[in-house]
Amino acid sequence: MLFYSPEFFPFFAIVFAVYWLLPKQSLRTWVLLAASFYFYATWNQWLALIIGVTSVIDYVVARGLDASTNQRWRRTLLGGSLVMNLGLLAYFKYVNFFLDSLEMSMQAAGMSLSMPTLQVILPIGISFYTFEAINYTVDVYRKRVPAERSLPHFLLFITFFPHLVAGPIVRARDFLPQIAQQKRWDWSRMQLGCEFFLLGLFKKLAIADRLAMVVDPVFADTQAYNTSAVWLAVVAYSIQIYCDFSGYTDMAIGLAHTLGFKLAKNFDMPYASVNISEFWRRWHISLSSWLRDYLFIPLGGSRGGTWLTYRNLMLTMTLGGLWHGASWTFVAWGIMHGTFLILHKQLQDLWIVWPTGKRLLQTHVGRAVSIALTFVCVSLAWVCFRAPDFATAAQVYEHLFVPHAGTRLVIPNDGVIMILLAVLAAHFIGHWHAWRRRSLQQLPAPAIGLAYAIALVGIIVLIPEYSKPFIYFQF
Amino acid sequence: MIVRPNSRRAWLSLAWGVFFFASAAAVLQVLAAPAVERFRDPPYSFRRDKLKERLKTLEASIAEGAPRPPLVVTIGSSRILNAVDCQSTELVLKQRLGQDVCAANFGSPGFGPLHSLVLLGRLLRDGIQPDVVVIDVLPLYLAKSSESQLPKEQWIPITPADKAWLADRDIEVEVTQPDPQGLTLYHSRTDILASCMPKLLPRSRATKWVTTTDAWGGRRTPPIANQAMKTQGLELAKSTYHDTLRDFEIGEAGLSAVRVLLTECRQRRIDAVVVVMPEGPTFRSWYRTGALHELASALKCVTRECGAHLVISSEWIEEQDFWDSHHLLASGAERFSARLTREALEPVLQGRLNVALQSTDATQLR
Repeated sequence: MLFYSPEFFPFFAIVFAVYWLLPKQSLRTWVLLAASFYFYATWNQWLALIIGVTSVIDYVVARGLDASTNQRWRRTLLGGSLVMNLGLLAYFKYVNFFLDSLEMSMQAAGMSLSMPTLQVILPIGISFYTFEAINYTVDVYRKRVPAERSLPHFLLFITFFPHLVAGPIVRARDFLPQIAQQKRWDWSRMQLGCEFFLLGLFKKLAIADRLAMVVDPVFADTQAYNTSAVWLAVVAYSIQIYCDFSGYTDMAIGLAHTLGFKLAKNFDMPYASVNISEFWRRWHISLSSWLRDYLFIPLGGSRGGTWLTYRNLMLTMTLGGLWHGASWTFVAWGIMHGTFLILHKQLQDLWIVWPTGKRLLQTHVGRAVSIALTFVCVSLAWVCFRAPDFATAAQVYEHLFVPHAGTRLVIPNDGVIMILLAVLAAHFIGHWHAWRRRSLQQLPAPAIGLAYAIALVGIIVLIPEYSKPFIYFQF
Repeated sequence: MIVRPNSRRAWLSLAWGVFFFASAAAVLQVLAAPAVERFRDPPYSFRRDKLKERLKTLEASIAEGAPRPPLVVTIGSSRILNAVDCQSTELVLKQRLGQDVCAANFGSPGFGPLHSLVLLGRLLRDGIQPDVVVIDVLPLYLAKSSESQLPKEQWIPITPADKAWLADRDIEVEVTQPDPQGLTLYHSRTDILASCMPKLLPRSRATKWVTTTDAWGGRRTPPIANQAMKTQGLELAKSTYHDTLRDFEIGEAGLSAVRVLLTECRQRRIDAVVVVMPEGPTFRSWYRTGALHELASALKCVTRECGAHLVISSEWIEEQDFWDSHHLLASGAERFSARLTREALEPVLQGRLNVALQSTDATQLR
């Protein structure tokens, strides 16, 4: 069940109505919990059971961590929870990847070894809820949050259906207090939720899915396309993945608002970043902050000198790449970003000894060049992310930098450029709160209503004939 | 509930939004109402008008008292739309039979037997009486698993007149307008986009497909530029048909729709030629083993029962002449058209002419 699929709307309407008709927040929690399990079980009921069981174990472990003062026992409990969560992630997501990689390396070493391929179903959203469970137990271990006493509250924290399958990765300290809070009907919040949902729908259906029509054929048969078509497709993919993922997040945030919950912001105009470090502060914020807090800093962060910082950056980004998918192309994508971050650190060091360079970059032209350069670097890295294998990625890079003749894109180039320009506007709209305050709130209610209607008609008209599932569902 | 100024503004905004959206959907439905036929169903009205014009010209050119030229109409899915070149069919038949023949292609994407029945009804109501109807039966619509799709008529707006026509033949369908859920907007989105922002559509979709048809109503599949598009087409075909064909069982609803269509033709003395259209080896491999045989047997029974002709052309064309293993490329269409004309249309029309000749002789003798 996707947020825009026909079956989701009656499901949500029922949940919404029952939720707000109930007087007590405790009853509402049960409704949301049941709805969340039902939502997940529409994909696979057994996998819903697995989330339920592992979440109960995490709940018990956290209670144990909270109750115990014995440091060794607490460490054992935390280790057990980490092994269980990461073990499940490794089994469901990476087992075949590890087996294939082992087989390939054995064959490369001249040994003949045939590893089996296990029939494993990848639970949707496993990477997201595993990270949520980990941040909770680690925070309880570090005594940054108290262990949640109510099991339904904890289960809802993990399974709350708007964020269950593709984030944002919520933190216990942000979300758990909201569950206990009595919610009051608020029209302003409903309006905000609807706006976010509409914005997300527009990004996903009108932009991302339409750009997929351009991108998919190029990555399926790069050889057939000319160089300019491949460049356009690569840029289009950067926009597609942004609109796809941030569109999902906007829908999730919007749905949560209508139920009285606030989810963390996950994107903040990432393609307006002037450097790669800023990009990671604006892109998939809930993941990058998770990686910073639970991987980069525990590894030593930037406290141990230049080389250790570089090592930590590279390790964090490589594992971040692997988090996305069980393939070496994702690892390569992570390594590329690790390298960009290291280069950026070196540039920062250079600006200390050559401040004129820094001043130049702070001019309007310098900023524009920095934004463009960052965007190009990020887009080039997306090639590895999108390509199904290294051979395809190599072909794409070759077509980008060695002029090739070939066919044009399925959609006329000026049509693609029109969409990309529209996305610049959408990027601006992405800065929703500021934009809303500045313009929407000045308008009379009928004008705002007209804008909603136009947006909805626009979305419906722009839905392509064949829409695609969210890219991040596979992670 | 306390209504604060902001809250009041918020719910008013949402209420206005709902009102404006509902109004937009309603306006579109009014535009798409049966009275505005050209907007409602351009594929039909566009080709009907062209055919009427051609018939008028043809009838004006023949000598007074001479019999009117026989009319051959092809109906069915996009397969027949792409596959039959009515211009060359007319030329060949004129050469072979020694008299003018008028042929028109009314194939439309997604059409099954019920759609074809609706279309035949419209032609007859509009005063167009075909002599031969070539009916492409899309196997998908004969599958048991597709039975629920039959009455939905997603591809053709059903007017009250269509509903009455079907009801006389004991087929119940819903009139698709007015549509309270704004689905008209959703279903017409490609057409709307083609009118306002064609550059956002793939080149093949940027114009309303019916405007790309020739004067005879047919359409040639655009030449395939590269393997990627062919692969994409094949993937799309696979995602649409594979699962249904893998579990293919003949369903009674689809067959009974074919039976009604053929009975209608028989009652109106229209020669019906049912064609199982060519499919590439890849497409045929998706069928459950034995399914194609069962399909042929079932159609043999129905056509025999209704006095119609059956052409099973599944294996006439090789894979390379398909775009997606079931829509013919121009090269395949040329071969298919020629063979269909030679092996099916010519004998049927010859038979009709002979009967007409005999009845004329008999009248003269009396």
